[in-house]
Amino acid sequence: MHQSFFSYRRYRYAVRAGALAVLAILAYVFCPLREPKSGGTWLGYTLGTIGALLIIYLAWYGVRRRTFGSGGSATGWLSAHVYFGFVLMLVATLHCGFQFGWNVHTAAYVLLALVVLSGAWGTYAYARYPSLIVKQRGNISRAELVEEIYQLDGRALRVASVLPADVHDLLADSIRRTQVGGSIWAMLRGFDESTVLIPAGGSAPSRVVPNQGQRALIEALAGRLAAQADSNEIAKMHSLLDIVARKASLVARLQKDVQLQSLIQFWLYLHLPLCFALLVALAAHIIAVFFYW
Amino acid sequence: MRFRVLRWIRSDVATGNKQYREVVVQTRRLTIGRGSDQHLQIADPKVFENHAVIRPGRGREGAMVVEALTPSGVIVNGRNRLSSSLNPGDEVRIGPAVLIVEPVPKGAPFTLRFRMAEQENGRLDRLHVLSLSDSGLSKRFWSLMLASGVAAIFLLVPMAAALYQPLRPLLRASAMVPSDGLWSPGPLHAAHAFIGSDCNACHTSPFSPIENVQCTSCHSKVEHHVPVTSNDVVLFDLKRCGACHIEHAETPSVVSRDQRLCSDCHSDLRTKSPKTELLNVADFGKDHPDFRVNVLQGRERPKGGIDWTTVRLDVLPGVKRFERSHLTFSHAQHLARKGIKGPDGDEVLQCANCHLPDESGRRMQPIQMEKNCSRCHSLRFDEKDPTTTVPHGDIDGVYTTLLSHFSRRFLEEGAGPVRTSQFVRRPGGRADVVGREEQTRARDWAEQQSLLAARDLFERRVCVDCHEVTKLPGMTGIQQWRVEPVKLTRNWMPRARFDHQAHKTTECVACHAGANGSKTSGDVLMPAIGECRTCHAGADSKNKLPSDCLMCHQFHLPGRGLFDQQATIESQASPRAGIISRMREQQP
Amino acid sequence: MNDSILDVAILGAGPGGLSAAARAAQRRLSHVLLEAGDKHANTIQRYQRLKHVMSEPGVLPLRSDIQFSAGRREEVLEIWEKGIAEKGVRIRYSSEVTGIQGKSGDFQVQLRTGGAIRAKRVVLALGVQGNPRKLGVPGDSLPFVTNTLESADEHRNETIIIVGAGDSAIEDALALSRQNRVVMVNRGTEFGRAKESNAAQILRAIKNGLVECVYQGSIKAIEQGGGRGGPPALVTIASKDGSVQTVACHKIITRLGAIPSRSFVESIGVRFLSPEADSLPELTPQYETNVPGVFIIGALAGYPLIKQAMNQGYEVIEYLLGNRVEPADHGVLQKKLGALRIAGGRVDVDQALAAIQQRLHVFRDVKPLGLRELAIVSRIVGSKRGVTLFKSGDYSTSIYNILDGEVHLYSNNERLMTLRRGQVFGEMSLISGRPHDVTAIAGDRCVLLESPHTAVRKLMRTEASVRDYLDRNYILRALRLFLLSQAAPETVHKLAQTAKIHRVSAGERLFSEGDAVDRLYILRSGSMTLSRSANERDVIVAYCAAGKFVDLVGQQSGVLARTVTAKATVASEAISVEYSSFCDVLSADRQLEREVQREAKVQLAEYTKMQSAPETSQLLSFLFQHGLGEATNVLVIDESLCVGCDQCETACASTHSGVSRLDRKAGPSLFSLHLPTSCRHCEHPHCMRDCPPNAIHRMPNGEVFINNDTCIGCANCEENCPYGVIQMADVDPRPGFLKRLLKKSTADAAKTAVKCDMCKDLKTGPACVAACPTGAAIRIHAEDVPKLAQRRATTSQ
Repeated sequence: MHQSFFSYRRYRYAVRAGALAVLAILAYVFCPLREPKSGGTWLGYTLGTIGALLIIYLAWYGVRRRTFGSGGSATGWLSAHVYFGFVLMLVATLHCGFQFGWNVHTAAYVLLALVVLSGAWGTYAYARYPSLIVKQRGNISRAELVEEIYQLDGRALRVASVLPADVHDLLADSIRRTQVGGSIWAMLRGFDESTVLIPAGGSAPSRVVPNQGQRALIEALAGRLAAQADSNEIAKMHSLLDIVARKASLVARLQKDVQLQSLIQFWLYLHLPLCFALLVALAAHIIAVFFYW
Repeated sequence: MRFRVLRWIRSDVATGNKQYREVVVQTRRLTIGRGSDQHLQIADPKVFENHAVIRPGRGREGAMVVEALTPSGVIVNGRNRLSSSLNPGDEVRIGPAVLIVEPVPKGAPFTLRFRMAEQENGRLDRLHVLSLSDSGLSKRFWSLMLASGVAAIFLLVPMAAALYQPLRPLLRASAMVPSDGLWSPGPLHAAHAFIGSDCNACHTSPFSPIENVQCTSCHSKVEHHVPVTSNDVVLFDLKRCGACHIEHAETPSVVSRDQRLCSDCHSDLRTKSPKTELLNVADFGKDHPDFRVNVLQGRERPKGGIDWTTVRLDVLPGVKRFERSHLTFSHAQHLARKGIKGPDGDEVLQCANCHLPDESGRRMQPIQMEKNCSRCHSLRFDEKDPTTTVPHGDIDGVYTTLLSHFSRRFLEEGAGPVRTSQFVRRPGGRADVVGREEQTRARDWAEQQSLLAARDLFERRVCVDCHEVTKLPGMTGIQQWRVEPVKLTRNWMPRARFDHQAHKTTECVACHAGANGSKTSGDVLMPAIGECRTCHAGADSKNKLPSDCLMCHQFHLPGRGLFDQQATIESQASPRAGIISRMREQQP
Repeated sequence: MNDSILDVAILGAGPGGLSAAARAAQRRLSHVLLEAGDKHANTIQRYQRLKHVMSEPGVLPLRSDIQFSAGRREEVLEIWEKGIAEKGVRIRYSSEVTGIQGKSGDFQVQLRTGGAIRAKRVVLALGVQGNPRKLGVPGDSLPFVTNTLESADEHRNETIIIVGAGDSAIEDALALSRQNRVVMVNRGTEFGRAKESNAAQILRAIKNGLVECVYQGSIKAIEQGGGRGGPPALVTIASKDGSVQTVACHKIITRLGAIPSRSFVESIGVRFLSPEADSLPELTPQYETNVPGVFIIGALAGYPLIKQAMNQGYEVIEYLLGNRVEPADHGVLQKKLGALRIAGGRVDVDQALAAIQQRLHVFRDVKPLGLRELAIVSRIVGSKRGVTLFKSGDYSTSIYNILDGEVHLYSNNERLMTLRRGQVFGEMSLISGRPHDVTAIAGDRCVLLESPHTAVRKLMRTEASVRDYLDRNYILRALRLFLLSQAAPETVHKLAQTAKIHRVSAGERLFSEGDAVDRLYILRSGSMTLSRSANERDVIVAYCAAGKFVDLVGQQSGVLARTVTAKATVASEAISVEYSSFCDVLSADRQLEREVQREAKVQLAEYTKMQSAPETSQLLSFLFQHGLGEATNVLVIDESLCVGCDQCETACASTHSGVSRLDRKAGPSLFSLHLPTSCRHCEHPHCMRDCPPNAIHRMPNGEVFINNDTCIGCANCEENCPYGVIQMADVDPRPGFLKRLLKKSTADAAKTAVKCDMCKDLKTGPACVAACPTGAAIRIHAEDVPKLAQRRATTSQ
């Protein structure tokens, strides 16, 4: 049956990582060193080597992800990646012996911290969002959602095509200005940035107003409806309104979906670049140490 | 001028002919873009806030130009342009929008037909960015940026500074500029602060540990731990200064006080150097041999004279140790509670009355007759005149002093040949002009008196108070006495560095127990290790004063020869040098 | 039209027809080749351009006056084109035959275009595609009326009428509705024939007014439109309420399927072996039907492969000239059967076949053609004593007949029975589609005929005798295997007397709650759900897999009623015996009775347990509805773990030369269990049912895979798969990351059917599962489905 990467093989990697952590701590606490337990001591070198190897190993997951048909289950890899990732933070901290400064060594440490942090975010995202996505999206796929909205638009336009031109124009404009997603920030925030252009009426000049949840449009249509006389058109307007209302709810769902989807991905856009930076920093760190021995 | 924009709304369901909404704009330049301030608004993510303008062109009357305000340009008749002149019939595409220039009669406003290409069948997923991957956010790009940035700042630039001389001053000048300073794991010790940012002052060759030379170039007088002439030196061949002296590591001092550094060898020294006379030591509190003091001992040569040797004796509680110093001195007598007779009445003496610290305060000044004893012990020999004294430490001087003294008296008193005794009993006789026989008589008398006084000094009263005086058989006159030379140990524990200053708050006798009871100056009054251990214990002791090796001992010992291997040749000092103090010897 | 009687009229210019005509021309026979379409070899013409045409089976030599070898569609067609010219074949295009009267020596072949052709003999090389149905209304042959849609993108802002309600009609409609006004004309009131996903989509599209649909509608007339810019066509559509509307449109697409050739053939009077749709006409070894003078060759005769058809084309002409030629497969059979020794001596093919036929009970009454065909795909195996032929638990793709010697069957390490000359074995897994229940080990001097399932299935379809024999045999074996392993043969036989076989299609009921318990059912293929109606809705209380008893009730006195309804999740077969006589057996055998009662108790407990968890049954019915009932290995994604990284697809693509065989996003889900569109590896693979080159195989571990080297890209499997997991793709022979990057058009590559092969070549197992970082993807067997459902239902609360 299904087994999440947390509990993979009855927490095999959690246990191993835990063991490593305990080992490192014990070594640090009980090692017979008088001078500060900095990276320069034999303890430091040992922990440093372990840390470096861990980093390589964890980074290798990125390669593993792209090679298929060999190298065991990706779930296992991720499981190990997550747990050892957290332990790595500890190992690194013990390695530097809590000595920080404005230098490459601390820079590498900070980068590592950021990588692990973003990783932690990712872990949370992976653990939390999938179920949310399923819940709020119901059993409709995004494609279907988009398709549905698109069809509603088409339908609305068709209804409007027999209504007065300004109504049609208003609707078409609202469709054009309906904004889903867009900028990264908008996606992550999942805020509805739709707008609509309310044409000049009487003295008021035409202006673009926010159309969050299609409210502005609905109001405008409602206002227009009040002005209607022709009963046939009133009926049409009503159906139009109800289409727009349905669209609004769907758009909201899509917004939410887009937000969750981007949240579940976004961390990786930090994790990966930082990881590469870290690898370079690590190299610099090691070179620096032995360059000026 | 005026622009006329016909925006396409829809094609009539019934007739199929297109319906337009007419907008007339009064402006010099018609602005087109996504922004709400634009004349022509194109709501599409691919269009810029203000994307393009249409304005009158140079040259002939009525010429119009479309000009893109963004690098993405506009598409005129299917070709991407940054700016282009517009003629009737031209088609301008901006994102999903299509503008067609209408032919108009002269004088009529410039007219555009405007419609959204995708208005009818625009798909949400095409019009909108619904996933991060489409949002122009690129993992690869940022990975590259960050990685190369880090590489430049923390690797390449510092490397340049490290390898390429001319750049150094430039880069190392300010902390704002990346330089190999970024590679420094921690600050230098205050002592080394003067080196500043010049890494290469010590780090001369890349990828190799710092040579001792780098240290000894300044610390040229640092001596070795063992005689550089001995074979033990090999034990230290691999020992780098850096092994004990850690820099850049925020250590409290450059010197590592870790006693393991010593005990590594000294806990079982024999294995390292088989024929050492040193005993094993691991920890002052738990595993430290009893103190051993250097004691002078003299053995008579069969035909007179003494061989002086220094023996090392352990100081054990209860066990009395003696030395032969040819000095007669009783601490007990001098420190007597009831006091001792001084020049002006009885006085009670303290240790500090005689034993004074030297200028460092760490050690005591040597006892000197003139400074410490002479106040009470005057060298007078004739109460007739108490001012004259014999000199100290010079037998011939003593005799000449006596001789001249009595000759003068003879002349002054004109005394006849009398026995000293009566003449002593009846002083103040008158002397007249001296004749030849008078002179001889006077010399005889003076000699006689001098000998009497000398015997008195050497055998009864003054010298013998403190000194051992031997009467040489078969000798006459002043030759018959010899004052044995005083031999005093200057430095009981040459291998330790004791600081009296640090202990001045405690009673002397607390450590030098039995001093106030000691009758003879031969007593060795040095404390046993137990005394120290009442307060001191090993480096990792909790309840006593943690005392590592370096508290009393030092690694670099005087007279061993220079630590720096190359320098060994110059140093010829003997291993014993500095252990025994100079003697104050008196020639007979 | 001259009245001279031709020697032979050949219908259908497919490979068979061409070959026959060419032979006739060679033999100086007066002949005509009638082709309904306007091109020769229609089926192949309809292939995608540059499609690679295979020449299976490789072993079979080609014997025809027209060249043929595997190659691009264009090349093949061109060669034939040339052949027609060179050999002087008299071919008449666009002359559809509506009927044939007369008798051997003088047939009148009626043409749609009017007139008739007289011929002594008629050779039907019609193939099975049949001719596309026409509307049969005035104007149905106007240029803008077609039965195909090349590309939806060519049409913009047009009005298009689509007639039909099948998948192809729906797909066209959806594709066109993007930029056009689409009107569907549906004879019926729903889209029953269409795949589920398609039906759902079109219904939504209609609901949202994207596609207009006239239910129970029919086209009355088609006329030229008003011209000058306006739409070219005016179509009159009548809906059932009699209302008639006229629509101006640009194009009319008729998707009415084809008129199967069979109906036409039967109209001539040709008898078929069985009423089943895929049955074959009765034929003599010379391909002559029961109507003298009428011959049938090619696909319609049951030989769907090009080479076979062409050979038969050659042979049939020779036959009707009266000379006895050896069938082309003779050489091959000689080789195959050479191994067979009868009475010590070598034998020729016919003797060998005769021997096989009289020795093997199964094939006693098989027609010679059928036997030949079986023989050519079978092989003769002589195996040493003690050799394991197959192990219990293995899936296999062949069944065995004992030509000589004996074979021992073991069921969990105890000998079950010993089979001797003439008996068949391995047929149970053929029937159940499950792994073997027994282990077969060769005995003394055993010589076997090993035949592939597909061939035998074909025989079962066409030869009632084979089916009946296997059924009878199955009943006996099943009773022995599942029930009466110790019982004496006569008891078994007695019970077998009362046995019946029940075939139920998916969704059909075997028995209903409340029915009297009069029979004891053993499910022999497919799977069933047992449900109870609790507050007027069915709650699934148990799942029953093949080889199990359906609702086994412990022996009780008196008549008792079923407490559950047994409904087939897929087309299933059950055998049953009279309950009363079963009870007799029980009462005779105490120990057995105890076992049965224990089993019954377990089942009852299971029922109540399941009944108490309605979600479980909801989920179960959902899963079964999507074919997990017959799955041996299906991908199930836990959406609450899936982060949508699409690693599974990427992995699949990269391990299958760039074509992913699964579509993660597609497919239904419930309680965050998602069933992506990917192969279920069914117990009875629908795709295997009709694969001309027999390119779909089954590995011992059950996976179903398509051999892309032999696949001819006929897309039958794609059609047959109810789960839409097979796609026709350009399989680039040279995969590679870089190549996929610079996505060069692989027009030169052959389009073949691709689907999940469970990464049979990877030791890591299926790449999709191995590549899933979060552990959301797993593959399960039908038997694990209930467990999965239970867990899920409980966790999803």
